[in-house]
Amino acid sequence: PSSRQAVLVACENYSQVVDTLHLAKKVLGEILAAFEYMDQPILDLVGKDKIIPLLDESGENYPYCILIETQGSSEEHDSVKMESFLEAAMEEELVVNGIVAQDLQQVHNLWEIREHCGVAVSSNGRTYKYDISIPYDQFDPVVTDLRERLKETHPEALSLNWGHIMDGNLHVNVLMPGKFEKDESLTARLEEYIIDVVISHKGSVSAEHGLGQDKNAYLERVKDSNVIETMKSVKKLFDPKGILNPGKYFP
Amino acid sequence: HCSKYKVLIHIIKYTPYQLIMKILVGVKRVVDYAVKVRVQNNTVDLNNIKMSLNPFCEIAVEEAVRLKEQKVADEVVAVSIGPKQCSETLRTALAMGADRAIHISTDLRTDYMELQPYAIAQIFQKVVEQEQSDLVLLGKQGIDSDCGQTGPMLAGLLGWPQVTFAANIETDGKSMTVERETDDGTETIQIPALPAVITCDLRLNEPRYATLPNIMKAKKKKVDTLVAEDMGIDLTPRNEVLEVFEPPPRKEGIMVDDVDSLLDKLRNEAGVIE
Repeated sequence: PSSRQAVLVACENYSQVVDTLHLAKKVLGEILAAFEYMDQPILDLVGKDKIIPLLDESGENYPYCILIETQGSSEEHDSVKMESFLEAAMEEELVVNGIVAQDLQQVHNLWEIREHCGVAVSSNGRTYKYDISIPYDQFDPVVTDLRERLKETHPEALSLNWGHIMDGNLHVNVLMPGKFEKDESLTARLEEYIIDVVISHKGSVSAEHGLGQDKNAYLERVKDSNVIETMKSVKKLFDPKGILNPGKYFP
Repeated sequence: HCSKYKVLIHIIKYTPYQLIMKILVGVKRVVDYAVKVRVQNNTVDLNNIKMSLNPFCEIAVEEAVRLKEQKVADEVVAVSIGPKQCSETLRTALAMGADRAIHISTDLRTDYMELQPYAIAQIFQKVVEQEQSDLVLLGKQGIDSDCGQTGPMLAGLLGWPQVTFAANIETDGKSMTVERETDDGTETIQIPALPAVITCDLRLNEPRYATLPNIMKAKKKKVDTLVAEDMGIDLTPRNEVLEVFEPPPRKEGIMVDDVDSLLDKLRNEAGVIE
């Protein structure tokens, strides 16, 4: 794309994040290319390795930061749209602060922060990752609830969340800092909660990355047995000898 | 008679006993550093290409704004020469903290193809004289032309002291101590008194980002426009550009069979070891 614009904006609460998304879709329309949110815990962790250039007056991370990027063929056309969007976002008090990248190097720097999220988390301890899809206006209550539950049984665990909120996927990550071995009790605690949440919202336990190996056991809980039988027979039709990706998807 | 005293007190209170420094900063609109340029019709193709603030000029703006924040300077004026899109470049400078801007409008190319350093320096000279600036901060060079000439030429035209490739600036408001980068190391130069011209190098500072609130504020800051062709300066280029071409593609490396062959090549072909 010959025109790339990127901004990092800060929100105080999750409903502002959602409203900002609605505004972005409305004003930026077809040039909206990315909308990635990051919550304060993940920003704090990333902030240990990368400089977060958007901080509040006391030098702390904001509750939420969103990296928004547009891509198009006309810089003039796109920058006007971006300007209208930012003005409206400020006016409607959806964002409390922001940084506008002035050149491609700054665009790259902002993406480095977002791209460091996964790295920061994996290098700090074992991460229990769930890639779920639920209605996005439910994320905050779900995460808050999860944090409350963790405080009861695993107080050192950190719940850090970030996502390409555009397609309703939430990458839930719970990090046990300093511990790299799998803690079965934590896994059980998390999974029972997450599966329940996803089922009650009629969402998906595997929003983006496919079912892989770990989540097979939960297939039975998420889909009813008739559906599973049908899925198995389709698989058998294409793979009668069971040699294609054995062990993945179906236990 | 009450009001007469009030007026007197007003004058005494606001008469500065400390030097008020007015800084002029050059901000050049150039092809973005990250873009791979193409050559078309014996010149660099600027069609639909991403342009942004020259990185060295950005460093100059940052330094000027810091001097203002340190209360050493009281006004920063940003100047840009080029087409109407220079307003975006000036807006970046204003969002970083410049107080107002001057756009010298021209459709001549400023990447050495049409407008060249001598004319640019003369334009700056006129603006500096008009603005009565005390300090001119420029980037050490434009990343398009790579000349590094505007600063020294401007200092020569003004008859002012100059320090180029500044990597550190310290001042008490009157004199300045500037560290400059050279191939042999760092050189420290003392400017006993202003006015002066300083060109800024990479190590001088890390420019701030333009924040949303500041970008909104920048829209309300004053931008004056002058037309380059009306300034009574001969803008014709002094140097003729004969040819513009892309550097030849890198030669393919060769594989050698063993260490002895490698040493042989290094010694006898490349001539890098004895």
